[in-house]
Amino acid sequence: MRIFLQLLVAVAIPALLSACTPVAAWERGTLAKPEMALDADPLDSALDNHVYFSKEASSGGNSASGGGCGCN
Amino acid sequence: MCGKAAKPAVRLVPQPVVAVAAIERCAKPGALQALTAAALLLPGLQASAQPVNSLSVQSSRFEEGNRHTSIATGLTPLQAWTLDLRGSRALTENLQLDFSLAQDSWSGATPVTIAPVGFGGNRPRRVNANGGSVISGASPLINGTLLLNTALVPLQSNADGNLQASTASETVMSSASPEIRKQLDLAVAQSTGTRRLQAAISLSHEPDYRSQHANLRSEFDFNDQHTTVAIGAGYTHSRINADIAGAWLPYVTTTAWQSRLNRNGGAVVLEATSNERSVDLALTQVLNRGALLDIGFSLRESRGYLENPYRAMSVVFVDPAALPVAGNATVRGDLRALLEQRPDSRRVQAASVRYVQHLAPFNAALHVNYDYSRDDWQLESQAIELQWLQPLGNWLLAPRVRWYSQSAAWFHQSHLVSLQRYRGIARDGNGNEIWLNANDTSQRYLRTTDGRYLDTAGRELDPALIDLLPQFANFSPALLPSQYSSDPRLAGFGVISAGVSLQRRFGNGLMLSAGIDHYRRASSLQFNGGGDSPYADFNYLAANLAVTLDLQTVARRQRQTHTHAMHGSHAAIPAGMMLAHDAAAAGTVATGYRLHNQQGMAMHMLDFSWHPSDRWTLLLMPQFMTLETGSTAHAHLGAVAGASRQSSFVDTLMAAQWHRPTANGEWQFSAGVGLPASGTGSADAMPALQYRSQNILGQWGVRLNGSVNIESQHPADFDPANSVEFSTWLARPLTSLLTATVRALHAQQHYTAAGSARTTAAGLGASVMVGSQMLAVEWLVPLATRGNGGHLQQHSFFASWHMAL
Repeated sequence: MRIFLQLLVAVAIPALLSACTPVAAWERGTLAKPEMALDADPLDSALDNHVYFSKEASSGGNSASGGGCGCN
Repeated sequence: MCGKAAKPAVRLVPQPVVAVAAIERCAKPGALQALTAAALLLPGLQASAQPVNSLSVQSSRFEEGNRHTSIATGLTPLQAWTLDLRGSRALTENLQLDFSLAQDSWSGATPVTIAPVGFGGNRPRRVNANGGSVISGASPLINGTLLLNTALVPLQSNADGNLQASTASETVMSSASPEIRKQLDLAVAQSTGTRRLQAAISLSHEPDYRSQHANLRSEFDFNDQHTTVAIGAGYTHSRINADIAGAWLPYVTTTAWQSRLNRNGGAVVLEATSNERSVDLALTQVLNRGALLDIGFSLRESRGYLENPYRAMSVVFVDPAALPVAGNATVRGDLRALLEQRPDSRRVQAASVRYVQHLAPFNAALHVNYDYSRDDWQLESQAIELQWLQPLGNWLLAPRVRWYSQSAAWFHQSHLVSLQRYRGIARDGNGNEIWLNANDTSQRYLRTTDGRYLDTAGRELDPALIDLLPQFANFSPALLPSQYSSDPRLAGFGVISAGVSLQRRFGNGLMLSAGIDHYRRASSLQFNGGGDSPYADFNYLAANLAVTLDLQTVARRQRQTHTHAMHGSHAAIPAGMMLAHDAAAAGTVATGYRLHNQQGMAMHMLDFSWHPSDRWTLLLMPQFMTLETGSTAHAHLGAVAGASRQSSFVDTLMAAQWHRPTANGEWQFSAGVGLPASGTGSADAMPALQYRSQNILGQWGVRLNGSVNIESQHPADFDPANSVEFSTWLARPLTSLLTATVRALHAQQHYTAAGSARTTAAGLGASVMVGSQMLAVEWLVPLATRGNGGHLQQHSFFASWHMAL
């Protein structure tokens, strides 16, 4: 897994970033659409994260750490 | 208990328009132009789809399926209700406040330990029926005898009644008392040019667990607003106060935690704290006109009590002196439940990648999320989620699928076997028992394995001449592993979950959304296989419903239509009358708030209504109650009486109303259901029939409504009630703005155990209507009462505010 991550960091990310195309401010209509938001449904994702937190040991870096919780 | 305070979501704050002229030069279609304008309002990238000035209410339901146990336990699986009220408000041009008040309540069966199937931890509960004994369910058994073979593998009876070795385990289930958790999140974000700074706090409260979290986050846009870098740091302090005296302490061994147990009266409270520090770094990049990439890294370090005080480890103690030589013999093990022991620290490293791609042929967006984390407990996890967001006019359909996998913590085991006695007569190094003189316990004697008694000098003595008693010794914790836990969440397993959500945006600023998710935990789904906890597999179904108001749109519409009347969505009726909304034009949306105050109790109710046609009204009304000591709760509000002051979300009312106009007035029929937000309430059906008309004095109406208990989850001291109420009212206009209201009502409540209560009351009130808003107050006075417990048997004050959007 560590190798996979290192590969991701070393190759994939620079490759993607180098593929960036300049986007002028007035060309950002698509990016401003609600479905393009990184968190397109904050209410739903807050709920999901809460449940995942109570069922899984690790919540993948987007929430508080797991363990120590007796809610299930 | 369930709660660490979660990190509030960060949202970017709008900035002044930077290139309006550029938009005007571009002759784009209207919708795209609006989106372009929205894009220009963003400093860099859009982190959240939530409107800046908004108010949301979300209600969700969580239900687990039955666990896999050797016999059906008959216990109701875990269920939870969550209610979340959240909003955001631009305080100044550069300052934004976000808040969230959430409550979740759960009840049902919960695992307490894992035990070999041969032990029978879910002990059959039998009842006599049809002349015989049948199994009606199971009770948890966490201490007792377990037979093993000489290789110390547990034995289990097969279908023929013969013992055979089996490594299979099962979850021992117990029914937990209902519990309520509340959480408050507050965040203030300041935006200056291409920089944003956010400070946030979060408080989580349960009777046995409190958590406080604070974080600071800073973001910078650069590279001509193509790149945003965010850096944040957080700190969480949690305190646990678990009273384990009742159902838990008599059965669980607390040897390792004696110093943390605080005995006070009848209570035995396990007190402990933990702290967590975290830092995170994120980079968001615009890749092109239709693609975004977000990469994040975080480090978290937790210290302190990281255990769960309600999880026990099954340890099978085997007396080494009693181990038989014969290979086919059985070994008698003494299975005991010990409170789990985890390391006192944990370091987690996590990384996440979010990729968002717009798919022009479908006018849709594809979200690909990948999360990875690992820690020094040797837990390694990864999750991949794909979500397709498909706009369909004003609708947004979003199906998704997620796969998750984690490896086990190094100290996770289903059970332990320890070659020592749990408790027995103390022995010396040669296996001789240690006995004491009962009259002088400083005098030690040895009882040899062949039954002779020796003094410390090795001289044999006659036990009949001395009053001897054995010296007992407990197990040695040093012979157990330093850390152990059988919590299934620390096991290796995988998950497949799938769900779909649907949003509908209305032009008046209202957004409705609903979602449903199915989650399946399966040991076999662990990445690289090898999941060894199939006994803990389960599934759940979660559904949610949310209403969001975009307050900016609402305010704009209000300005545009400031002469717009109420459209009848809430005419001048007495402030205390619920579920009495008027008919209104199709598409009308209204919101409101109502306060019911009587001695010791304040009930706050939010009110959202939508008129899909001029004949129908749909209503959603979450209620929040504050109760003082000694007060008696309304039968529909859950058994929340008791402590000095309690505040909680109680029922959420959902109703549909049908309106039928007549020549002189209107009939109205309502069918509602009150769903408990707390695990201690009751679900009630709430029908109502009303007729209203106009006469020379003003508007008048008669109404018959009731409440029937349809499902209860409550402690034994809660007495659910059915009720019926008849009322008549008159609203007399005094000026063009002011209306006076009078009301008379008779209410009867029938309790399951405590008999009935009757109340006749009269109300006097006034309402003021300004534009599309109405303010109303009412004072309700009981005139005659009979029996006790009627919810209107005390003076009540009502205040309400309603606004058509």
